[in-house]
Amino acid sequence: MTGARDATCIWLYAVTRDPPEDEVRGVAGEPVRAIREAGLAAYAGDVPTSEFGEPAVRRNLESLDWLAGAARAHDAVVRAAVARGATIPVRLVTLFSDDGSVRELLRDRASDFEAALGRLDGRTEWGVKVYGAEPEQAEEQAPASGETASNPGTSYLLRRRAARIERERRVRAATEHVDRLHARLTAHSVAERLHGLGGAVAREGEGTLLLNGAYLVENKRFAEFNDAVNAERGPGDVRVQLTGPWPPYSFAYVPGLSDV
Amino acid sequence: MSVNGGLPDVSGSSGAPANLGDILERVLDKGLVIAGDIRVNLLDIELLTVKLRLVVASLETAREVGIDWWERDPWLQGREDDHDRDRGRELESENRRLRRRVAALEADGRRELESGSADDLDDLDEFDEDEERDRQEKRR
Repeated sequence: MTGARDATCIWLYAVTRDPPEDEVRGVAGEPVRAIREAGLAAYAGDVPTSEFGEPAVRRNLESLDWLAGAARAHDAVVRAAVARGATIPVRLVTLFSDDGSVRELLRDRASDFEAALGRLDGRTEWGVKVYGAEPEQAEEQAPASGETASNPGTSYLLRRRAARIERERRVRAATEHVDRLHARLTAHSVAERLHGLGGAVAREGEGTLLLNGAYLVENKRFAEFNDAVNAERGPGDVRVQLTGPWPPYSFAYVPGLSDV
Repeated sequence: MSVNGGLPDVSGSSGAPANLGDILERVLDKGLVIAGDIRVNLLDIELLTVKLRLVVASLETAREVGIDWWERDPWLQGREDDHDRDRGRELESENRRLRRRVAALEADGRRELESGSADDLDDLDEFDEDEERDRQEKRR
């Protein structure tokens, strides 16, 4: 607004209790600092308004390269905070004009933030994805039918029927496997969230996404959780992938604030 | 990464390194929403994933970072463009050919099955639909 070349605004990364220990660099390469209030520390960076403020940031978000850089840098700062203790990750592009506004937020919501941090203490988010075979693949793998017919037309139809039955059987088996797995993982975690299956996660050659779950797991119980991930081999064409450790992005819930 | 309270050592486990697709999914769609005093319309941010599909200049770049979901999205594929209309016509005529072929096979099949098991006739009836769907899936 001022048009000053070096005008900055505040980019918020996370809310936690402890300030950064070592030097951490943020989305603009700026040193990340803590804005402290009411026993809380907000990880914040002073970023140039010309690139990260309104309206520039909105335009920049539409560049995949810019977004990728910002997302990775944001994630790196959040991870640095997690390394110090319980951390509430803040969504990308949360901007404030000055320290006072951030302090006011921390002060007004101190007990809510503290309660949220309490839920995250000693716990870590893990991601579990399950992929099934692409429909065509499953069909190719269909076993030759034992039934035979002398007429080529009929035998073709019988093969087609066998392929269809086989496909349905595979889908059913994979679904049941995923349900059992999710139930087991839920039992070994303190909270779980199912992310969308149609979202930005399908990748070339990985098959059909059957489960995309996030689980908040007690660090002390991770071994059991990990065992639960690998406990049961699913149908041959089902692949289970564990991702993490993640900052608790999927469990960054603060009553009152999150209801907006 | 180490965490107060003892984060398990995962070097030996199957925890995959974070790829950009996973990171974007979390920093854009998850994480605490706080309305800063500089308002960036949150709706814009939520629409970002949609916008992304439209602004990605190079499909290769996008695939490198593991994003290709728009290729499966009928809405974004613009089913109504010329190319697809052509494809639609192609499919229609192929479908007609197939129906004729099926009719012929059915005639054969019925003769064959009169001496065999009768419940296969049900499958013959389902065949039309099934085949059509499969063809269309393959084409995608």
